Amino acid sequence: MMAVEAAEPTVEVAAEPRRRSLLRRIVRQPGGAFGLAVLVLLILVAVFADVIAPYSPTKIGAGPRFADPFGAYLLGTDDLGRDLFSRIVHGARLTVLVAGVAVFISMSIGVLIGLVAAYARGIVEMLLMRTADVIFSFTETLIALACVAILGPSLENAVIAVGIAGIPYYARTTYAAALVETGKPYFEGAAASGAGVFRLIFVHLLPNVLPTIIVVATLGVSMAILAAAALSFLGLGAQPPDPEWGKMLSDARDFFNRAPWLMFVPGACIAVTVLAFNLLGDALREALDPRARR
Amino acid sequence: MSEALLSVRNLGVAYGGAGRAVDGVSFDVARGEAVALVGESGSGKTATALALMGLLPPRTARVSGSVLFEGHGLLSAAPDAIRRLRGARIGMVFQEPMTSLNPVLTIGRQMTEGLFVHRGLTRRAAEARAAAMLERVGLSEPVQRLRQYPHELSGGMRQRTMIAMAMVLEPALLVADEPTTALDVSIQAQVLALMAELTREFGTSLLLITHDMGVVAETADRVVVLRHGKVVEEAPARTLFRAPQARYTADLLAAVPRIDDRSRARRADLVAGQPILRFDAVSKVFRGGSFGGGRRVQALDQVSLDVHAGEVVALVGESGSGKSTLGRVAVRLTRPDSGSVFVAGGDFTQLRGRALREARAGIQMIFQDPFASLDPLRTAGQTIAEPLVVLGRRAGARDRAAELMERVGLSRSMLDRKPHQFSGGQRQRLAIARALATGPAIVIADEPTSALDVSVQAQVLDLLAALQRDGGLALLFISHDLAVVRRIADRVAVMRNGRIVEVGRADDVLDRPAHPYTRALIDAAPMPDPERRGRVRLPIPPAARPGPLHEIAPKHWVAT
Repeated sequence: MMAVEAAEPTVEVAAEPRRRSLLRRIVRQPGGAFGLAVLVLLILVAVFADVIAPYSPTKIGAGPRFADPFGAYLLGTDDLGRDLFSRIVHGARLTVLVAGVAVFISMSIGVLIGLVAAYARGIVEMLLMRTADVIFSFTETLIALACVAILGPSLENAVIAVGIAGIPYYARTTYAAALVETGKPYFEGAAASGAGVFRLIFVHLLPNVLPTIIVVATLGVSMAILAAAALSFLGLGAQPPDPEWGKMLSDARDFFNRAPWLMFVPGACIAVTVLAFNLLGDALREALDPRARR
Repeated sequence: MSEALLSVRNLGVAYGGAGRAVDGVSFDVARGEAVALVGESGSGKTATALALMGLLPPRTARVSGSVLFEGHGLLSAAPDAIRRLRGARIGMVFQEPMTSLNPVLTIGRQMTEGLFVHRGLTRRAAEARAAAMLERVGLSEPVQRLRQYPHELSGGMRQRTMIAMAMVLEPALLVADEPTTALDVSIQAQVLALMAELTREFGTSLLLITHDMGVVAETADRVVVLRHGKVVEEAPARTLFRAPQARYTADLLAAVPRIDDRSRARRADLVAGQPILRFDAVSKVFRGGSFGGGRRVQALDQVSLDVHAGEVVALVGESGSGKSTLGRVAVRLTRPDSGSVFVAGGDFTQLRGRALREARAGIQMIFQDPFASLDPLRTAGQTIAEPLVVLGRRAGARDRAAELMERVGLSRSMLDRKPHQFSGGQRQRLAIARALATGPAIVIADEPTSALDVSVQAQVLDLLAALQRDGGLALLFISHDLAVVRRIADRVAVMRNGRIVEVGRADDVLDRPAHPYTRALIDAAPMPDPERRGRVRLPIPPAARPGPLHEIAPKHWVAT
């Protein structure tokens, strides 16, 4: 009946540039750039460990015992004459693997629990979330310790243990995010259109909580690395001669006075990696925040 | 004109790299005058108000031009000087009374704060002043109110409190940004009257920012119409409503639905045969608290209503009347405690699984907020096709979606866009297209236009009416706005406290209302006509449980 709508503004945003700009939004933050750089470096080192490392990480007597760093051996050698640089490089591979698998275990189960609880409500919600709360009230390391105690000490079991211990963390954050989404009209709109349980949960709910989960998982990686390192440090994870950073840290304790770099290097690697993932997680959260988008 | 209290000259606001939100706006507010800044979303009305209060974030917004208030240049003043003016000389009332009051401080604490800061009053004197002002805005037991927290007050009471808080300092200018938009119609009328009364009594100037032409007509002396950050027209209210000069103003006024608009030809009786949707004694109680010990709210109380094929039935009521709950019960988003819903003759409340999904194809829903009712991650095509995909009719779903896009006035080339690439009106068209996908016999529309601008609202209403007329679609149109209802409905049902108090043909109910509540509601609706200002309004009758309906005229039922 009239021609006012012609003036109604249409926001033109193409889908592809938006994805690219997510990366740009991360890199623009100093923390994000650092985190991303370390992540890329870590993955490269893990993939090309065999090429980068000059010696086998387990080769005893690759050099003299306790060789000083920055000499013939970049980071020196340990009590068995193994090349520390090679061990650190291969340790990166283990770390990536351990963290990746553990996070995958806790995320896939935790997210599913959170989604189902938020969708089902009522008695299902109560059972799932209260159980998660109970587990959550123990320290993650304690849960992991209990799991290892049952499964027996080995790197595989440590990964499973860390994965299980992380489930409540993902379940709770997913549940909180999903609860917000289920209350939104679009979710009800889909339900009113006749969408079934699976469609509602996996087509509508999951993609909309995914940004939150990605942020949580990034932060979760650092927790998994720490937990796995802690288990190995306690001798419950990686077994000799696996070059796991936590295990290396623990083994080097006895020689601290003689060769402090044996402790310092793996310790610094853990710290920098954890810091990088934390910063990356924060940058991601910032970048995915819809309020910051404009 | 007398000396201007506030004088805005060539005001400009620009955000970042985007265009100018406000561009060269100039106007004056004289002492004791009520000026309305009117515009649709994106017109820059709120940015103008925030700019002249110095409330825009200085990092992201660049403000230019000059604002003179009582001889002080507000834009060039030091932050401290502005702070002293704000509150003391300029009072503010915002749209959301819940969020603009601090929930963890008592009313008294918040009201007296300004009196300490700006007037240096003692605690006792400040409290006495605050209590007197609360009484003045019509709150009972003002002294006790000072010790209450915002959540203990109703929406209308909170807005009164906000006004009292702004007026207690006796400012020279009151800036009200959409002060009644979040309120029910009956309360809106009271709050507007109160603001007019108080500003007259204290000689306060009023700068009213609103999108609602009815509110403008009820309060403003002079009107400044904004569009895209520029002043389109400025005129005394009476002149503007009688003879708008700018084409845009004329279009805007023409788009405003009027409750006294009798131009629409009503179809005679469509009521024939079996109803397409039937509520039979539907009841629903909501219990607060997780252990059932909380407050018990009877949302629906034995509601019975029929909607016949091809008919538009409007469900009217204020917030808490149960009208939305009834709509949700119809599409089974909410399950009733007792009673049944029949869709096309079958009992909809008992269906499960596949049978339910099939039946849902026959009854679809459109929601209020088009910004929230579409999944932000799904394309237009996916959204529209969803009801078909759910039914397993994947083949041809995309073609059907494209066809529907065109039917609701969108281009099929927009099929792969996501919701955020559409405007509000376009999104609501998408929602309508989705509702039509399965070819339902009836669509429930819950306040489908109340989140939209007036001009867009008119277009969406026209679209709904056309679809309904051409496709023989029945509509259950849920709304709080009687003027909108007048425009679209064949029959009207008025709800209050979970019961229907009056139902009948639209002309009967709106022109010859029989229930006192209906009469008061119609009376309270703001009229886009300054000549009708200050008319005596009927009081809202006390909330007693309405009795059973009985027929006072053919097809006109009223509760006792």
